[in-house]
Amino acid sequence: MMLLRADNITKRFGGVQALDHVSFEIAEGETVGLIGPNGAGKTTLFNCINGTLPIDSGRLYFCGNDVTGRKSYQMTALGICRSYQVVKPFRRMTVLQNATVGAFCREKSRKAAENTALEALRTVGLYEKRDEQGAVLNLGESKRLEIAKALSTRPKLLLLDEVMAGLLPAEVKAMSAIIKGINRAGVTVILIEHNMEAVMTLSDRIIVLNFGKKLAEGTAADIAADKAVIDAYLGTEEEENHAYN
Amino acid sequence: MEQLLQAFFSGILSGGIYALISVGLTLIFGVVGLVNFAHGEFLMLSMYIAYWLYYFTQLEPYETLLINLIIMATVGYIVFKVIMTRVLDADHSVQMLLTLGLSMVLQNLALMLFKADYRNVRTNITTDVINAGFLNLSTARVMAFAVAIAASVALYLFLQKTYTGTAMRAVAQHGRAARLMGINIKKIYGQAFVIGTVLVGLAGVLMSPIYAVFPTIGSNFSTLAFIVVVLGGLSSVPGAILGGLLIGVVESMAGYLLGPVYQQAAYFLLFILVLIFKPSGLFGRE
Amino acid sequence: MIKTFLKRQNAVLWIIAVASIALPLLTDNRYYQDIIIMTFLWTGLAASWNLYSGYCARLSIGHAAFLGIGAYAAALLYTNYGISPWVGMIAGGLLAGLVALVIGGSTLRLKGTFFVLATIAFAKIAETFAITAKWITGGSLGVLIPYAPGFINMTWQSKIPYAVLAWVYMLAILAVCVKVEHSRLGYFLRAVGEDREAAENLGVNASKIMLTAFVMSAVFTAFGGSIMAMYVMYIEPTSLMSMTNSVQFILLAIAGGLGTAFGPLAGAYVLVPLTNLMRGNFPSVSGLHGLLLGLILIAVLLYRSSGILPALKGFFEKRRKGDMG
Repeated sequence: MMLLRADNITKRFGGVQALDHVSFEIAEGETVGLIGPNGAGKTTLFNCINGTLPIDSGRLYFCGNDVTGRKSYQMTALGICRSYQVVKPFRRMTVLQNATVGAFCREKSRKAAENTALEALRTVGLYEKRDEQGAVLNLGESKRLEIAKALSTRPKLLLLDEVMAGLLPAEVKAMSAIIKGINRAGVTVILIEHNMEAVMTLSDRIIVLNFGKKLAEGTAADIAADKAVIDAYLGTEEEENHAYN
Repeated sequence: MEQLLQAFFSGILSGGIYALISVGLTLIFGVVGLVNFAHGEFLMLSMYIAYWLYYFTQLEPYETLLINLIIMATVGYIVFKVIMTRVLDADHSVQMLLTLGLSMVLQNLALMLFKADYRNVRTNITTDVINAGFLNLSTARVMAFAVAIAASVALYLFLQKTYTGTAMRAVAQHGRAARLMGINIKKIYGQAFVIGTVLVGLAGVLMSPIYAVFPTIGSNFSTLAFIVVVLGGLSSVPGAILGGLLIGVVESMAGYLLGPVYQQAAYFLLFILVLIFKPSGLFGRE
Repeated sequence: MIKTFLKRQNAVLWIIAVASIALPLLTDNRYYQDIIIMTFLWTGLAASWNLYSGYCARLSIGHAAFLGIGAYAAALLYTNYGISPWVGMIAGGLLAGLVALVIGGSTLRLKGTFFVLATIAFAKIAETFAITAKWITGGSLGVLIPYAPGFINMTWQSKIPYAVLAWVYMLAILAVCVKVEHSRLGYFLRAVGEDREAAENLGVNASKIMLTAFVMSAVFTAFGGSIMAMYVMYIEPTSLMSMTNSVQFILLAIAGGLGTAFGPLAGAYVLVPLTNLMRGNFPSVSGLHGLLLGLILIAVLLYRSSGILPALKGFFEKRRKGDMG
């Protein structure tokens, strides 16, 4: 059985077609890369999957159940949780408290919630920083805290939005290892990523979005050879070069 | 029927003044992003200035208009420099509480200095009445209405037609972008704050032949002005003018139809309903 | 010792709170006893306010209305129908909770500034109602509560029982706040207060959480209102539900430290005696109390926006560093 099935997801912002009949399936245990040029609709797709934004039409199935129209806290309870590209730490709470908020999603008692949170912090390597305030973390640590918070909710499906953007090469390597570890522990992962090397090596499969439409889907090798994908990427690069010249 | 019309027109006349108080508040909120709870106390201040000038010189409030507005501009400038500049980047609730603190200080200072007595400016114009058919309209109210609407429209034209006005609108819409375009934001903030204060000062002058002044008069009018501003769609000057007129009419009609005690309740109810069902304001765009 | 203070700050503040019951027993001066009672009451009230506005970071400038609901419920049921104020207090709490459910529920969507304005309008409507609905509330004349001492009437000749009652009220509210702070509700409230979207993404039903805290806050405030009415034995609607009273909630909580269980205690223990002593020593100067509140509010916001408790902590930490260096 498929863990997640998106069926013709459509989302409009005023006149802009942000998502145009996007359909795909995610199997349990997979790591799937979601790539595409800026403005392709990747983050919007995440917002629609986790219920932050209501979808205009289409259906969403999770574990075989129709979950269309659920709110984001309900999605989290079902087992879908995301991290934010623009990090959102709770600044006046400690790192441990940040993660404990997520853990309270499944646990009633504080002791149990803190244990779950500590485990998540160990996974992302923030255990030592557990008593620091959320406000003092640097970018790399904030990105890892984002993951730890999401992990604390014990998700079946984890949506990671550009967790490598702005990181140093060494940090990217560490982050890749963290994601691999999370996946190996049984969590299905969809990741939006601009770092091609990382996304190609991490992903079992890749889905390409362009102008709100699914452009291609397949293994890393398939995608690298896909004519439409190359055109889409080269096209934008040409425009960018043009703009700089 | 005649009484109903009379109530309607006196509502419109009061509405003009509410509009003038509110455009000042709208300007400060729209441009500076500041919710100024001390706005009503500025009104009180200007009314006291008009009263004391009248008390000592027997000059009509209209005659001391210029002095009054100069004092108000100075007060606005000092308050902005000494207090507001320090919290421009702070959280909205900090700004709100700060102006709330300022309003308490001004109000209670007035109470300590002038006692809770009601003080009236009594001149010829206080009792003058204009007869238009069956309508009896107080001259001072008609005068206040005319000047208030003229000043509100003048502010609107100023924002639309002049360079400084355009800069203010730019800051209101996109503070950061405006800064990049080379606009001195702090200066614009200061100008908007002072203009807003002068406008409410003008309202105070126009009101002093009509209303008695006492220390807490400002709080009644500042809550009212907030309601007008929200009804008007927050940062729209025409919206504030329309909102002012609407509140004036609602207040007056509720007073006539239900009894004076329900005047306030009527517009607070209107306000809560608008907040719940159309927070962008009756005249605001979605 | 300073180190232990920092670690055991809450324990120390607990001891202070519990031990302060000795204060009204140490003096037979009714004026000082009055100040102590007001300090206890306002600690509880500010803590009630803090429970919603402090943790959730949504400013209510209308809590005087809930104070009024509690005060009127106890006073009217007792004065008009002879129902024990203890029952009236429960009734007032229920009514306040119900009103909070309606007001809170309909203002959930409102962003910061709009919510603040809505709470102000709510307080104004409550005040207008109290003044106009003469057949229920007695109008602007207020309610004069008959003096008939007895436990069942929540009325005593001595001030000591009132002090004990106010002290129990304060401790109960503080206990709830501490409990909340360490519980799921407290974590969720703070998360929602910082970033609603991020909190919902972690499974927090923000609307439910906010509403829960708002209702709790209203109910506790109303309890305090009932006690206050029975202690003062007179209700005057315009001052009871005034903006100044609404601001007093905020000022005490902010001065002490927003969103901390013991912040309101620190704020109230310093400011209530201070402002009352000033007022008591210059009784002829009306407006002094409000002026002081305003000045303190401005000073706190400009110089110590985090409040007394964190400032104290900062002071001790500096001292400690100085000691080592």
